[in-house]
Amino acid sequence: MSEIKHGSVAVVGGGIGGIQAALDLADSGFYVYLIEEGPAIGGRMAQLDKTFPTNDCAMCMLSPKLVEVGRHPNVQIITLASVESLEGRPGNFQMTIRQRPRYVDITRCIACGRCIASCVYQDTKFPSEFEVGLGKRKPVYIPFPQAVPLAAVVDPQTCIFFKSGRCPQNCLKACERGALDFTQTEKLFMLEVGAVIVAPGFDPYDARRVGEYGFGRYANVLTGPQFERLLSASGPTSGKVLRPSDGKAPKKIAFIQCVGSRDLRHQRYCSAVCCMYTTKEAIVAKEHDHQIEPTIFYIDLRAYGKGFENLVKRARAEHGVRYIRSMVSQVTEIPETKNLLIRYRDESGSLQEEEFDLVVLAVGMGPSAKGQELARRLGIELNEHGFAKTSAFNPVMSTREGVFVTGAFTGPKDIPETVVQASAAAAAVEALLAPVRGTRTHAKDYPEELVPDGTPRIGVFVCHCGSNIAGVVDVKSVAEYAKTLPGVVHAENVLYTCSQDNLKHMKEVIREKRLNRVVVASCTPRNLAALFQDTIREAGLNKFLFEMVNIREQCSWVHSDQPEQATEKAKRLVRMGVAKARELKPLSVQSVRVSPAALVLGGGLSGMIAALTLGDSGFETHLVERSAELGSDLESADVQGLKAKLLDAVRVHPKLRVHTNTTVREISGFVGNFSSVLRSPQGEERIQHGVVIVATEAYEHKPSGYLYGEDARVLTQRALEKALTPQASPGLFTVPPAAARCTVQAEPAEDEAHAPRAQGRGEGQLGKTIVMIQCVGRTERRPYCSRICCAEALKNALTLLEQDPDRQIYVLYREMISYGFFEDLYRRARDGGVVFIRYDEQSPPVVCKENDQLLVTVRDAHLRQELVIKPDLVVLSPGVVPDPYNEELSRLLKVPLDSHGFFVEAHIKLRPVDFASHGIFLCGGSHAPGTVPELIAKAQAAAGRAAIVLSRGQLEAGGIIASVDPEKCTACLTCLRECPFGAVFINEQGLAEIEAVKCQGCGICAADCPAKAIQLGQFEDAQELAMLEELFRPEQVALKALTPSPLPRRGEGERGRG
Amino acid sequence: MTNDEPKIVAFCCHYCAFAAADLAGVLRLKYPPNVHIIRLPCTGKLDALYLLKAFEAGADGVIVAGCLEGSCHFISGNLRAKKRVLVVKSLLPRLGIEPERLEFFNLSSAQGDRFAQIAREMTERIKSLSPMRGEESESKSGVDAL
Repeated sequence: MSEIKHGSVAVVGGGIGGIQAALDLADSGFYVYLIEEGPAIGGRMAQLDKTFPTNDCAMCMLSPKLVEVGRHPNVQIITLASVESLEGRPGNFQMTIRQRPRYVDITRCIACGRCIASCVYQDTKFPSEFEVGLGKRKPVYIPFPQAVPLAAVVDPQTCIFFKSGRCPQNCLKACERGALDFTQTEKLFMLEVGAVIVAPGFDPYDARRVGEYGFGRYANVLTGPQFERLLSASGPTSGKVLRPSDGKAPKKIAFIQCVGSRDLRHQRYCSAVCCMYTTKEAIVAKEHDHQIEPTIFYIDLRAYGKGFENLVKRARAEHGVRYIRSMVSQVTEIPETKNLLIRYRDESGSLQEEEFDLVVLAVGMGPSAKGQELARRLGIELNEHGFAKTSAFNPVMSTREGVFVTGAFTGPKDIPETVVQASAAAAAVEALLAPVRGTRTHAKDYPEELVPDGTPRIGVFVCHCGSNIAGVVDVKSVAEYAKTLPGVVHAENVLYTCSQDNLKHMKEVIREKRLNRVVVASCTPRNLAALFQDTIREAGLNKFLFEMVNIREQCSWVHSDQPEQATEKAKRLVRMGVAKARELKPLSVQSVRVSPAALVLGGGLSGMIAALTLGDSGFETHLVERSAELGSDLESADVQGLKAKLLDAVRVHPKLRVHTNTTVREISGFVGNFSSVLRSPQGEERIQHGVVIVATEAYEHKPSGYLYGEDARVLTQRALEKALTPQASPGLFTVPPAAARCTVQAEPAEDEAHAPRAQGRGEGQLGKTIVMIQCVGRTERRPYCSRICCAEALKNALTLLEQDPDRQIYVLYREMISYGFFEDLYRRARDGGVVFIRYDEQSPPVVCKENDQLLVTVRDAHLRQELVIKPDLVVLSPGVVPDPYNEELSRLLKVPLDSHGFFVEAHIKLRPVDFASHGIFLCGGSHAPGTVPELIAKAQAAAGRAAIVLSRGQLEAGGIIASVDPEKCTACLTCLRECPFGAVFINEQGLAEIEAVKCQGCGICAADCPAKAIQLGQFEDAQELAMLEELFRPEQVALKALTPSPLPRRGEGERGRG
Repeated sequence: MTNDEPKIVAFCCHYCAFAAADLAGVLRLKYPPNVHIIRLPCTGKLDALYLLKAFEAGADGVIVAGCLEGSCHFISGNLRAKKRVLVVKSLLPRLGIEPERLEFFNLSSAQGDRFAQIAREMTERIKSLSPMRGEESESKSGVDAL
């Protein structure tokens, strides 16, 4: 353990995966260097308009995370940086970083854009990386409006100064902050870190390499990522879908799937996300412009994730998206109109030619070129597809100890899977570095808070922001005006309120003038309010005695053509801010001690992994299983080794307590302080714990019909798997080495093979002719894709062929869901002679018996013919169903289930393993079906998220939260009903009370309370109404009526109502 | 505020609408300076009383803007707000106030242009209505009459 030295971690890659890993680690006691190759963090997600399957706005979700990580005291963001080398061992690495110059001092830049406006290039001239070439930028630019760090950057490749040395350097002169610095040079420096997380993401496949679709030659052929920018409200066309060739609105848009994916000439694997991102793009395009007629050309429609199928259904039914199952062989341009001609074979087999206005290519996810170079420098291995090599049973572990990999670097995946892996990698790092937790993080000391006396003494700081505000708004007159407002004892103008020298000055003024409220009129509170709050706290004020007035984004920048009105508006806004400040109250934040133990519910694979991860991080963990044994879900042959290892580890782990034959009778409390009663045959036991992880699994559904249960020759895939001999089976859901297993004799061409064969002689107990039926019993009641069955069938088919290459196997399927690297299994099965027959949802196969001969009748959707097969064995894939115990857990924990019985996470994209209720986390098949590596990552992630709570020791509660006035509460239960977070309870007096730790500060209860008994801190009714009244008060009246009289008392007029 | 410009208050939620208004600024879009934003943590915090008080205090128009449906940072706040706005809209005619003066919008934080457009459209819409009836005292009695 002496080797474990550094409580700091390098996270390489600032996309959503890197950001999530950085936040998880920094929140649980580690210092993080977030190293980003480009000038801003945010990655690919920042470029997306919406995300599937909910079509949520990507930037709305991402931007708060960017701000959070940018402001985190224990995260240092290093942009324009790449890794040179990594020396040392786990716990004690030395990483050398090369940082390119930005030519802009980010501590001085305020992203006002004056340098950009003054650049010698009057027009934007160079393709913008962020707009995927559709928009243009100048040599000096801000990567995107929400960029973090929010600062300009100079691109030396295009800047005239660097190219010729002859440039008037207008940008340098235009910058009022002296932020531009052309003398910056490349820096080489070393970081000492205990572990490394590598998250460089992916490269979209280069569509130019798929020549037949004309990308790069035809103006109106775009890629999916480009189309995303067209849809974005902040994109190059402001969210209007327009053709590049003529700027006209297209009507017919064709989307072509699998561009560069599932193709031996390009990438063999399936890119896993394209079917869904195209479906989303088609819907969103249609929503933007109802005239648009989207058509999607696809091979297999892979809607295999949570909520995906529903989105596709809606696309078809509500939005009229046309799906055509066909591979497009060629796109040609009609020179006169620049329209595009697509030739394809329709589902009846006849050749069609159709004209489209725009073609969008669903390019796949390729391995990141920079990631591959990075892998070389870090000394980690890649797999055969060029992605990071990982172990099936530790999906975030690279081939070098102490270096973890996450996100699309390990294979194509969507955002939630990336976030899951990021949290999983953070959890793995936490376990590794547990002994040095908290040794490199900073905690700040603040002076004791002054007790505010009742009379407001308000200081107002009106910012020039250089000329950003002062160039439009007469800021001097605004400050003068502020001085006349009741309660204001100090008002001044400041050139840059956020500059270090002013923050110091502000603290001095607070002390000298004994200010007890501060108003800053400058930019948006979304970025800097926390900075100013921290400053007044350093001066001894409660941080909630602060109000920020936005006179930049919401005034000077939008009214620059009307300077006088803008000045008047700024005064009104300041008047409103001061009115609110008069009503502000200090809010207290209490520390609540955390019970440093965890309760994990469900002793299957996920529960064991989660418990072990928490135990390794040093937290006492109760693992509760209601059956007699752990790991009963691990049935198949290829996970028996893993099962044995896990059972051993759980048994000897000093931090784990296993409770089998145990159920939970009662759970009370909240994050940090739960109290539960466990019931077992030995009696009842009460335990205290800080977090709960729900880790119940999903199980194979028991099919009905198809002669299942009536004839022993009809069984399920799981039963087949058990019957197959262990040593011959490939690793579960991992891609076995291709070479050794492709020796199976090729079978006759597909058409011939479709001819039914009468076998029935049956060599070996499983027989010669085997029919596998996918999607058994997928009805209205169970309409979701179970995700794992196709891969399971492929794996078993390959094993059957290995045992006996003469076997004839038929797989009857609806859509072949061999996503990601499973595509290799699909190809090998086809090469090995497995016959795949697609059937329509409306005409499922029928199994019957004739003179003891099994008969399977299926209507081949492709041939449009009925086929009869006489198999020796029928194997059913009945899908998976969640644990029925979930219903009880849902009631006990007050966490939601969806209509199929799976748990509903806090946010489908960015909080995949959290429940909305704080302190409760989820993993396992009962969250959503998944493969073994996927379940392991989810379990590790849930443990990592839970460890954040446990590692803190103390939780802060209070601040902007709601509280109930017991005098006014009538216990009508409205708040109890409406609170989305279950924070309201009825106390011993029979009145409503709000659990401070659970309250998220939305204020729904306050607005809904009919007795007006609930107030939300910082947004009290008196404060809001004071702003309203000031806004509409005529100027003269305001001054005359208010100056002589004492300060108005807190909203008396409003309270009486109700 | 010049006398002929309608006075509008916009209640915006912190995570989406307020961010969209910021983006409108970053993109240097233009909208009339008579639109004033009051930031709420969530439109779920919007008390129906605020809407009535706004008209009582002298607002010519009120905008309430929350997240897109299904995207509320607080799960259901925007849906609650929408309901309250609809209720108040139905009450406004009894106070002699056209319901068109109050509107609920859903927008994402990336829709800077949409925010500017809403500000412009509401201004135009209210300009097209006849001026607000009566003085403050009169509308006040109207609220009390409820």
